[in-house]
Amino acid sequence: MRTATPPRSRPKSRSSPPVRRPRRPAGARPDVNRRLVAGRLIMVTLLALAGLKLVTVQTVQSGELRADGDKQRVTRLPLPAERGSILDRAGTPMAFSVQAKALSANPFLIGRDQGANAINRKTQIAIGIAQLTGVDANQLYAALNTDRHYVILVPLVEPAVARAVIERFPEIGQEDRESRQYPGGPLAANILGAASWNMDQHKLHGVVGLEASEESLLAGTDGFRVVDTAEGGNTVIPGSERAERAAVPGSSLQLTLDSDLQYSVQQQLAAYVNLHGAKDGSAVVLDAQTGEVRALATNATFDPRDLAAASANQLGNPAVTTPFEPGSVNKIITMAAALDSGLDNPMTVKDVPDSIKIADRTIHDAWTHPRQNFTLTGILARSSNVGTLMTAQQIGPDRFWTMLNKMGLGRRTGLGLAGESSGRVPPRDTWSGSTFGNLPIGQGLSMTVLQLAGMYQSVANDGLRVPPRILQATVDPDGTKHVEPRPDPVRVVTSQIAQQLRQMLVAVTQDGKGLQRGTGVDAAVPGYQVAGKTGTAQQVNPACGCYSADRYWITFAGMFPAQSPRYVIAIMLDAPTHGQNASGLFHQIASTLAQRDQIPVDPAPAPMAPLVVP
Amino acid sequence: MSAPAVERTRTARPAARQPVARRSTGVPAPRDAGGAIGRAYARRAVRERRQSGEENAAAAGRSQFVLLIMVLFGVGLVASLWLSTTAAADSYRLDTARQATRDLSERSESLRTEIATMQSAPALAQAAQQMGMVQVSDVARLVVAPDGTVAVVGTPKAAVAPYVPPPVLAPAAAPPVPGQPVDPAQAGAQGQPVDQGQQSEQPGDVAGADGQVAPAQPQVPAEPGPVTQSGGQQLAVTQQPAGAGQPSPTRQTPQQFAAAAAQAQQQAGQQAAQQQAGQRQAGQRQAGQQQSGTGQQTAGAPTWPATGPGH
Repeated sequence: MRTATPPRSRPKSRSSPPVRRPRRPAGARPDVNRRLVAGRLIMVTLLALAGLKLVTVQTVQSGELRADGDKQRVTRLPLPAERGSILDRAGTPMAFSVQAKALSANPFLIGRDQGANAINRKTQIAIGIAQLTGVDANQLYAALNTDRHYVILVPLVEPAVARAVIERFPEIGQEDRESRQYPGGPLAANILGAASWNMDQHKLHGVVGLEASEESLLAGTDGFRVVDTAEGGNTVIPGSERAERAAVPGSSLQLTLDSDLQYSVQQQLAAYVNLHGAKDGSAVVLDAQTGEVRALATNATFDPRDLAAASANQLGNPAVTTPFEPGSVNKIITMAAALDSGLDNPMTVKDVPDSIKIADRTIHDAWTHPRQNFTLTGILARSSNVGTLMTAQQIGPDRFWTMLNKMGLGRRTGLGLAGESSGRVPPRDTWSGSTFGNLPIGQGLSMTVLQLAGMYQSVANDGLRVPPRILQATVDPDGTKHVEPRPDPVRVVTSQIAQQLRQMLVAVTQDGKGLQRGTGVDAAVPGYQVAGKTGTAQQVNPACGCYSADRYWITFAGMFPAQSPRYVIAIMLDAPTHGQNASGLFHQIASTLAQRDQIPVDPAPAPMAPLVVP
Repeated sequence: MSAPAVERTRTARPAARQPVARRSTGVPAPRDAGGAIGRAYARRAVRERRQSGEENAAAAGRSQFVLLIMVLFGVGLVASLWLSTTAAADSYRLDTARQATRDLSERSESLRTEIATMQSAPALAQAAQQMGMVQVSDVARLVVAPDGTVAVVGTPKAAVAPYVPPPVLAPAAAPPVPGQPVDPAQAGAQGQPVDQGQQSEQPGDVAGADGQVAPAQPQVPAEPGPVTQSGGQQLAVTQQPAGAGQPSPTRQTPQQFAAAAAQAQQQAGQQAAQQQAGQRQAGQRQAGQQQSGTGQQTAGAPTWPATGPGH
């Protein structure tokens, strides 16, 4: 620890300076100086150069170099947003997404690496993947046995299976996919539509139906992560995250559909259409009070899990997009207007001949009869064209036109499905003399099955028409539910008139003798009163531009049970070859509803209204 | 180099403290201890003593500090070693946990899919149908009046399958995610034998037990199965293609068929025996009919087309 110098060293140091001095030659100093100067100059020059370069790199070239460096390191990794689900009203998923992988390979590289052994290896891979995934081995082998640089071997496979494949065959690559699941298959497929993987956007994309029309809602927003990655690979350097924006998953869509009811209506409709040889058919079930669509079925449907097998006409939703001429179901407008005008009541008796002349045309009843005394109820229940037109002439076209508008014809219902048709109603100012001979009996105008159901919904809901809706709510990713705004109801008739109309419609299904028999007896359900109306409309024959004599639209619309309606059902069959009546299908659907909802039975026998009086 | 000079300049100082200094330091006195050199030594000793007092204190403090630093350093080293070891061990645990989480979330997702598929309306309908259930269209209801009397509303009658499930709505046998292991219910629909011995009996059993829930599919004008003409009605049920989806000994691949044929014959025998024993109300005629139907089908086995539903 002592820092003091030992004393003995001192004498040496005292004598040293005189010794050292003579060692430096007198001529050496200028040489050293010169060298030092030269050295300094070189150093300074180098420093200056380095400084200059530094300034250049840091300022002039900085942007370019930084960009070059970033290009090598910085990678923007997308964070895919999960697509929202589509639920039915009970929350049962009808469409949802799960994570999946696609297996890909580079057959060219496998061929090059394996050389002569390539065939063997490719066979091994094909068989191995076939075992693990259940895909046809021949198909895999065919895909592998090319010279291409990129083939997708299996488009959708569970992640665990994909890992197993890659563990076994390192040549195989995997890519992220999102697999859209439709657990019900063809259940409500025409409404839901389908989404498929879009290779360019690297995400699921709605192709048809709600999946397409609600794409922005369902898709969510993709996020991203900016990170540094090792060159030539995608290995993320830990801690190199520069920016990150989390993906916002898509919202879910809750429909008003009841998937059980939808299934049975779809089944029953398809069977009925098959049985009667119809070209097509649609059916809709509405909640009588709220106008919510409980089931909406069309005959031609597809399986969204196998989109490639579906034909173009199966993908559509004709119940919404394709209007038809309604026929006698439209007589409800005349009846409502007649009661509303106060000129008639359900028991008003009219002397109805077999035919009536309107402008230049003569219109007959569907069956020949002598002059008979029909009650107004009888005119509707027996579906007398002549009686209806007499009533229409009595109330005049303006009252009829007002009622027709109140019923929502000629306007879209705003249901919530894409491509909805408004139907076609000739504007009031274009009416010719014969137009008013057509419209009251449901010819010369067209409507969708939803508009048809909407008319009867107003009768079922005590005269208050609530436009049908199929979207119940949207559910945010965090679970917040936003209930869709309910449409404004339209007052069509008073509740008393609606009540009278329901009683008149009950008479349609009354099983009387002879002239007291309604046209829709098959629709009756034992133990309940059923209110409904049959309809038959001639189709236009494109060959002559006239009404065809053998092709019809067969319709039925009604409500169930009649006293306090819970459901409104509308059915349309397109050109059935035999059995010109859709009331049997109404019966099936109503019967299913009665059992399902355990609707209380009304033990009192249905009242018999006089249809034709002496 | 300048130190000796400083020493020299200081020699001019008074030598009053010399003896004390010499004694206390114990440095051997040079020859002229009483002279200038001696004084110089003494002064140096004093200086050194003065310094060493401070230095002793400072040294003690410094050594403690160094010790502290060393201990800290040691503790730090051990701690960092321990931490890095733990971190390494934890990273393995983390990795395992992550894998487990991933596996479990994948499993939950696949189970969710499976549940959604199995609870969907078409799958439930198919399952009910496989159990021999028939959808009833019109039911009779008993209405109990307040006075206790019971009225029957509607006409009680046996339920019949009112229609063939149209092919468009037959629950597809395709697995939700292609490549997913095929579940038994779907395997049944695809024609692989699932517990064939028991399931194939069901239509017969139900028909025998009570006539009400008769499997009415045979009466429906369905597209006939390849061997419908050869069998009795009971077994024609099992011949419904795709839609019915009932597993039966006859819905097999041709390869399996030869092996199963003998087995099927045995089963038919057992079946008949079971029915005769277990269900007395079931007529002998019916069991016999079924037996003969099975026999005929088995006989017709080799003509089974290679492109049958077993593929």
